[in-house]
Amino acid sequence: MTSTARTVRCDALVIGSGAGGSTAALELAGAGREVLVLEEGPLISQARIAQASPPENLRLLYRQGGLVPIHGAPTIPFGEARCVGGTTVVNGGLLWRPPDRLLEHWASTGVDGFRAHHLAPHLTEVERRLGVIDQSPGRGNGDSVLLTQAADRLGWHWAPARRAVRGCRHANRCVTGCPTGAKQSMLVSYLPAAEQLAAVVQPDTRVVRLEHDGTRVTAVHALRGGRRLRYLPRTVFLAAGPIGSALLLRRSAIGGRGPGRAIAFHVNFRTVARFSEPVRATEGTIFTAQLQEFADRGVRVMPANLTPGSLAAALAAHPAGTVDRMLAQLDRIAVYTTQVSVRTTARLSAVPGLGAVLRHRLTGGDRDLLRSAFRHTAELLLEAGSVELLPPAPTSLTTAAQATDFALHGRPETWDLISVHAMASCRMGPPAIGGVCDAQGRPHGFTNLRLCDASVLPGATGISPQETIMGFCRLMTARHLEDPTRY
Amino acid sequence: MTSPAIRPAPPAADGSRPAHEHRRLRLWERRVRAAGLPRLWAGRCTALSDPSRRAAAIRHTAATFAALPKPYRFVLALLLRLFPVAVALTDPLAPLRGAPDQARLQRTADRLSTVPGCAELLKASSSLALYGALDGPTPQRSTTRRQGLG
Ligand SMILES: Cc1cc2nc3c(=O)[nH]c(=O)nc-3n(C[C@H](O)[C@H](O)[C@H](O)COP(=O)(O)OP(=O)(O)OC[C@H]3O[C@@H](n4cnc5c(N)ncnc54)[C@H](O)[C@@H]3O)c2cc1C
Repeated sequence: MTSTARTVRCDALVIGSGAGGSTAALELAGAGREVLVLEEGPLISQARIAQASPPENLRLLYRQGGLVPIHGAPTIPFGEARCVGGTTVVNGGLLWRPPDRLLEHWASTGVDGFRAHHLAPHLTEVERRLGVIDQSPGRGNGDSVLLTQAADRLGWHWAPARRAVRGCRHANRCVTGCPTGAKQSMLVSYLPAAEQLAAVVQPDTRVVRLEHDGTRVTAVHALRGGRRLRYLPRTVFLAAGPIGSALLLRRSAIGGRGPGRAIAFHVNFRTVARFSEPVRATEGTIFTAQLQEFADRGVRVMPANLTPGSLAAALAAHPAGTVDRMLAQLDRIAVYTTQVSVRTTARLSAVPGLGAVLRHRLTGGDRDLLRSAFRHTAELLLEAGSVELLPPAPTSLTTAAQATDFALHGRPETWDLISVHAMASCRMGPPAIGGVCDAQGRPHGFTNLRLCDASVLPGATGISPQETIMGFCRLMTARHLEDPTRY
Repeated sequence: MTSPAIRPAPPAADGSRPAHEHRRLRLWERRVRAAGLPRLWAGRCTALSDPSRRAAAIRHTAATFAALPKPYRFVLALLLRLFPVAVALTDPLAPLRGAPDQARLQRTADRLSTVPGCAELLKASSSLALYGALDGPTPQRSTTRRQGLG
């Protein structure tokens, strides 16, 4: 950067305004620190989200309209937002506590200080602030009710959806921005609260590089509307998300080749289920119950938001006539998401002009896991009374035998998979086992740079990660505020 | 804080997009049309034969493509240019047969689905088009929304 860049001195500089960045901003502002949040994406107001159609919101709120590819077989679109509030603006609002066993496992890999008892007060506070409740069904959500009934008959464990909502009106548009403002994204919760405590949020400001001397970040370079800006912060809280944070570290030559070398992610596939009776899935919120019987194996099943467009888009590769046939019976259709915690990781390369290029290589074990995940999903949905299943490949299944056959012989490398959860791209842990940061989120050797988003988690959560991210971030920030010299 | 809070400019209403963005969008709409994709989409879903839905499909697809990073846009523009050639090769007698019916469009789409590059373009654009057409603003939806806000 040349000396023509405008220079801004600041105290705590937070990069990214999603789940992690907003949590850090609020806690720091609450402790009296001067907080400046830089966000690459635009500020899309709640009113604008309500006015725009879902496709417009998809383009406004998501990075690359939701088309960030993780290259491989198959190429998997990765969904993340690029707006004030980050991915919390477009997510399902599910807040699950990290299971004790997961935290114990992380502790056993050398990441101590984040056991259940350490995190408990922080998770409780996050849940209180966001109004987390067991989501009750609306007029629709027959898809969730059918899931619970079938699970009960099979003797399988399910749990009510824990959601951050205040007065959900079942608008059925959770993942393209809640039009009523009921979902407690960072845009309507943490960020306004931080602003009340004098934090400043600057949208449309993309950080391009962190300048450093090997132990301290000395300047942060950013672009805003074509203008160069240079920030001189006391402390930097990096929360640009699982991809953005790794990319920035790479570009800034921090952490060597560690950042983005092994990004943990979950993959989802969708199964369209046709029932003989009306389900009215279009009239409910995202879902109210999740199948957790196979959670230990990394598999969870839950309904998805159903709209004519999302249904048709999911069936775009199916044989001619399928879309018309399904749309004609929309009130009897439900779409179920199966979330699978794969063992493989994605790898990031920083390519000039393109930003982050992501690649994955599903292992044989992952493909087996996906097949068995489909088998469980099909068994559940047939038990729920589904008369036809459209799996994530262009075919139709009407009997248990066909579903079993598909599960045995399907080729997941050709399935339609998507991912909306990535994490651990700059994981905390000892360098010997691939850790990029210490237990305070500081890249090894750094003192005034702290990662506080999905990137810093020690591994895949297996569950939707927002509450884990916020709990970790709040705990790390609290420790730092208590004793800034030690933490 | 040494710098004052910087507030964003109020969002441009759809009609008042910056001129260069508007031109870029129009260019991508022309590319999508010229590639002949909308006819193939209509073969997937009859609702896309309706002109207003088809326009919404083209708008969403073009706007999504236009917002991709430059290298992806470059590859897409090339694929869109070559797409009509691939269509002609899969159905060389098409010009002699007049307007294609649903079945022929489908056969063409099925063949294109086996051609690397064309397959990905067809699948990605069909998904975008169907989403844009069916969940996008229709005259009816706009009225509902206005009532909802009123
Ligand atoms: C469709 C969908 C549904 C989901 N549903 C759920 C759910 O129900 N429950 C759940 O727990 N999780 C869910 N998730 C995932 C969850 O929302 C994310 O894991 C979480 O928001 C990640 O938090 P983060 O702070 O790491 O990143 P983000 O929330 O993505 O925030 C990162 C922010 O940094 C900004 N940024 C990036 N680079 C820069 C830069 N260079 N300069 C400045 N700013 C930058 C980005 O624009 C973004 O706003 C969902 C995700 C999606 C896409």
